[in-house]
Amino acid sequence: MADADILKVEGLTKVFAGLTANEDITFSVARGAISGLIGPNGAGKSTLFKTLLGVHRPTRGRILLDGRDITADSQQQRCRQGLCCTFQIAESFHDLSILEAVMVGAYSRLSRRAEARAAAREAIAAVGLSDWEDLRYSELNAFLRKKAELATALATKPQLLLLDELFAGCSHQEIAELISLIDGLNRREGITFIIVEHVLHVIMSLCAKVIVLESGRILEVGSPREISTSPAVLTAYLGEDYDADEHQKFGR
Amino acid sequence: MSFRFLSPAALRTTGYAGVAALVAAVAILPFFPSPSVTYAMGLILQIMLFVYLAQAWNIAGGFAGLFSLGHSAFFGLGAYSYAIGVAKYGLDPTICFLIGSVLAAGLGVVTAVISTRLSGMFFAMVTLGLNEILLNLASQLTWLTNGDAGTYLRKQFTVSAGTAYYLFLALCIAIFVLAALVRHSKLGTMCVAVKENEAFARALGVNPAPWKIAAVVISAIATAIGGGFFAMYQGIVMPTMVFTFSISIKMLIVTMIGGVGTLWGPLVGAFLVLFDELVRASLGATFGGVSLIAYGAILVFSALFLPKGIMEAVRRHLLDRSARHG
Repeated sequence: MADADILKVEGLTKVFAGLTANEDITFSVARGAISGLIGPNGAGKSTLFKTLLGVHRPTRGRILLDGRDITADSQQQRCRQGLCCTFQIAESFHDLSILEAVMVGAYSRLSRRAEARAAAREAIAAVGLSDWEDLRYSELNAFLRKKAELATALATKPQLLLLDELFAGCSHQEIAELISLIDGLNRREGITFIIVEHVLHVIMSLCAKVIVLESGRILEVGSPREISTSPAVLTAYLGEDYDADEHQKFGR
Repeated sequence: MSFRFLSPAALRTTGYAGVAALVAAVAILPFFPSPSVTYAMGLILQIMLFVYLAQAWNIAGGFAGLFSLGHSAFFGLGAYSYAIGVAKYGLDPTICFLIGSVLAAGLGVVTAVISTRLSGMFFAMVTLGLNEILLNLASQLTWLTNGDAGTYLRKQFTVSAGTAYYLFLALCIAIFVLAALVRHSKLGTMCVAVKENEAFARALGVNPAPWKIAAVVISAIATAIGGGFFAMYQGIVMPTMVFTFSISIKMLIVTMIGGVGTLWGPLVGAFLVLFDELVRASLGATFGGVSLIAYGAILVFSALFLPKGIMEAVRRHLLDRSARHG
């Protein structure tokens, strides 16, 4: 049960009508770690993300969560086992109040309304949105929406949380705030994170391990330092003039 | 306006007080008999029928977003179950309502299961088709329904306009209580969540199907019960009287004008029925079809200026005010 790796992906392949989006993806994520998933557009990040969540069924391969094979499980079963996510475009439930939207997440494990509300308030407080809980999602600005979506995912009490471009479009100050938020959740609650991101300094400052995808395959796995100096990664994604030091400015 | 100084909680209290006053006014009206009161009661009965039906539609169409164009199917099932049950088989009225509810629930499950496969317009088309099937069955199965001639009810199975008036007042109160319970329960939250963002809801561990089915079944049973009472005070049920698109569309339009998916939308939208009846009464004799023209004009107006309904516009307005006045 208490496996050191919370997630193991073995030989994952996803073929869409002849197009191979992911091919033979194998990696593992240590419990309590923050890992990054990067790669150029079309590398298969979104497909991998959705296959992990159970939106897509893999053509081949296995996914193990906490040592248990979840390859055939529904999204509901995965969520109940502690896997959750935020989506790239933070849309959540636009006409619900923040409180009720977050309650949707809480209801995944609670049935009573009062319990769900209490759990939702807790998650809202964790991201610092308590003053906004009566407002509707559609009445928040983009940054607060991201926090609200994060709170909704937190309300499911995830063990492993997948963040799809949570930082996209944020200012430097907002990014710094989100980084310390996620860092805190990781340290205090012990939540494991996988971050799909184009904002590279987030990856470089938060992650212990970075997985680089290219053309549907894993190009490289390593620490941010190793990744940022790997010739293959520099050519495929970062660009040969990439300066690793410049992207360490949000050090934990 | 004076309400700018009120807090949201005080505003809510004012709203509830307004509704309570309205209910009280409707309830005591029959105690002042006069020809004009009799006329007003007829009008209010029509309004209450559609407020009830609109709220029943709103539970599935508004909360869960299952945009049905064929709710008259449930209405007709309820009306025919009552009429055929008491007139042809001499069943107890309660049993008839039970049969109508079971049939509507069955059709509701079918509809909801279809809705998990189809969305939006395609779902609407299917509901339209289901109603069409029932319309033709009702007119063809003459051994059961007496065909287009309709099923008549003997006097002991009907109610007077006065009784119907209070019956529908009670039904209206009941459906608003039911809708409020649904909206504020887990069911309501799940339905709205699935309607607004099914992909995210699924990622949060929501399985949409059971919630959709529950919403449609509740909506279908409520509509069928309304159909049963409708048959009770009309004294006759004919295929084109109940399985008609105009009932489905009226349920939907009243809700839309008031505010789809809002709790009070169906009540606010009811002014449309009032308007329709008044226009028909004053001009109908000299200008045939005038009420349809008026209906169309209101629809165009509301689509242009109040796309989310009156309740939403009111909410916006109050929100802006409270933002400005702190």
